[in-house]
Amino acid sequence: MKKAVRNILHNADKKTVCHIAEKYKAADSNTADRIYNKALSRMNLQSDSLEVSGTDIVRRSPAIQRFFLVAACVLVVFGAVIGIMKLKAPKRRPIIDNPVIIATATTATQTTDKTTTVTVSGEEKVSKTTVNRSTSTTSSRSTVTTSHTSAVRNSNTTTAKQDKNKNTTTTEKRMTEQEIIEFERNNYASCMSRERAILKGIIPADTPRVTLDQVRRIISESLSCREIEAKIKAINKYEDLTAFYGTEYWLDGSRNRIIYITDNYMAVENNGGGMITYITSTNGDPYSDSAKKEILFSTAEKLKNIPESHQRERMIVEGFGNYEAPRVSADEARAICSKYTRFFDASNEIKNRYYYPDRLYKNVLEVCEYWLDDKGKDILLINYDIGCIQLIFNADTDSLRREILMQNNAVFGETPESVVFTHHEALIRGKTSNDIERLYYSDIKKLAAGCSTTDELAEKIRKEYRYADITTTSADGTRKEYFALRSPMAYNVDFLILSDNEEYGIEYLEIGSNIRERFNPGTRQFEAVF
Amino acid sequence: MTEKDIKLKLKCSPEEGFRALFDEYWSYAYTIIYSILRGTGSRTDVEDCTADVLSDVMMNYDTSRETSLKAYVGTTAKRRAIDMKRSMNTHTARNIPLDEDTEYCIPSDDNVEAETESSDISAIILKKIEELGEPDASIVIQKYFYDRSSAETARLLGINPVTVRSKLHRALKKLKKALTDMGITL
Repeated sequence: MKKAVRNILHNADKKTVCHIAEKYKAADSNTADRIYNKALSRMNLQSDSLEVSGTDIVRRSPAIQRFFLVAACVLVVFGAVIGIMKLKAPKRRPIIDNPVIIATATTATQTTDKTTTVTVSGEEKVSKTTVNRSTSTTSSRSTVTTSHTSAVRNSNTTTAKQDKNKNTTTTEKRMTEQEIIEFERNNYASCMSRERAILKGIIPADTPRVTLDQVRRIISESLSCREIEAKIKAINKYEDLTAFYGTEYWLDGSRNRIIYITDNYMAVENNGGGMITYITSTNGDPYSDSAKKEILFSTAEKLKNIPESHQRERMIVEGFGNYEAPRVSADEARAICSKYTRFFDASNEIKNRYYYPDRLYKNVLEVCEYWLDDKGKDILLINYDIGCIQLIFNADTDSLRREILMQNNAVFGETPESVVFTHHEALIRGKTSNDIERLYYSDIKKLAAGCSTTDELAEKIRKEYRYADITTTSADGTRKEYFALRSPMAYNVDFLILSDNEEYGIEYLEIGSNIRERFNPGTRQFEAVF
Repeated sequence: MTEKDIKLKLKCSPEEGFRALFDEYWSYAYTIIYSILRGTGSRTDVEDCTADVLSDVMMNYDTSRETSLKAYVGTTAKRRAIDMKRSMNTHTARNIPLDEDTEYCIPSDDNVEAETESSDISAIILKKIEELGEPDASIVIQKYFYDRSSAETARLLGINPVTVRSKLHRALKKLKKALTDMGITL
């Protein structure tokens, strides 16, 4: 009865466990306090009753931290006060930004019944717009009128008034607030940032726009959509339209020539991630069937040229990082590994600090590389299946040097003198590829059936794999080569071990269940080792 | 304290918020982790993992999210415990059989019936244990779910160890009778 109750409760389903969790106390208050203090120490917070146990390092926050906290608070309050004062101060004349643009443009405006605007750009083609003033009440955003129109349109903006006060000869006819609201309503969840900024007097009406040539140049110099968008924004701070589907920059003030940016970074597989498109249309609707589209940049296309294993580079292209992001150093890796006794803790901390490794290879064995430099000459190598962290210096040369920081010897069954990730080191030097077909144990058995000697089988296996995954040398000089086999079990890694010691010969090791079998050349089969 | 209160505290004062979060969910997280790490890790491992989970939740949970905080704690606890179990099994050169990883397990047709039955039995047993009333129910759970000794259970519940033993004995008798009445023989 007791055993049965225990078994049933131990194998209870999730619902029952949750029910127990909710209803019954899991441990006493001392345990709770201990967990609380541990949790605080995980977050680098301090508790008065912090208990030091084992080798956990408890970091007390330095006294100077309080000083910085107070200073930060003062700074925030000061900033807020200044901000409020600025808001309450009388409005100033908008400051004209001088964005960095390559193209030089001149605008000539005539004050006649018919207004002609001619824009000449060093990089763009000449655009010419002619608009009849008498029809200007329903005209598009590119319409330019004489100063007389300010009297006709009572709803004209502060900008117009300021221009009048300064006795300027021209004013741009902008959209009224009502027109903006109407436009935004028709384009659901959108905001006409530039027009609103002009309306509020934040930027002058003739603030230069980004040009197509500038966009092309930026794209040629950038890696990710996010980087391109930031550079465009540096030139053209207020985009013409931001909507839930993307951002539009209207190249000549109308919606007939636009740069359209979709920044859906999270959905590369589904819709190409970030994309930049140049769209031309004749009816002011860039999404109509007649509009012509030219994809200037596509994250998905860019990613096609970067192998899956190049994690860091892929993340940068996808917009989640930049090349200047800090790299792990050898000393830091040593410090992390010396802090923990368990591989899991050390590798987790490295992963938490440097989320994207430079390379991540998965082909039965999972190995990742964190480069210590930009070239990948010095590498922090982590093998998750063996539980090994190694530093490899001068990885691409013959003067390669290894430093083992952490190693779990459970797979080897002993503490070898040296452990070399032979296949991976060959991969680093470009001598092999990660796509080699790894064999199942059943394949090995078939090979064994055709071999009458151990050497014959060893030769066949080496031919299939070319490089052993791991090579170890034990204290007595025995050299073993470990070849990882594919396993039908998802989490298992099985090895075929070739040893230069005749006593061991060729062995098959199933780590999960500790099954060990040895090749018998007499029967041409693998037989269990007890 | 409701989830809403905890979220509000987390927003206003992280320290107070964490205290509230901890008080409300530490036991919940501990139990889930214990149920996964049982037999693999020690109690210290369970405590470490619980601390990891709660600090993870504190640092990563977005208080503006509409999702349930409790569900978030539960999921984090389960995942973290499975990770830890895998890690510990790597160290001891053992692997987790595929069917232990409930997160990724797809039940076969043959197993569905057996799993449902097992789930039903555990639910019935729990119900009957609850019907024993307190402190008998707590004693049975502490003894057979948390594998605590009588002394530990006594300390936890604030009663005498001898009383724990006698109450456990009587509780098991009652439980057996209740189950037999339902036609369940263990």
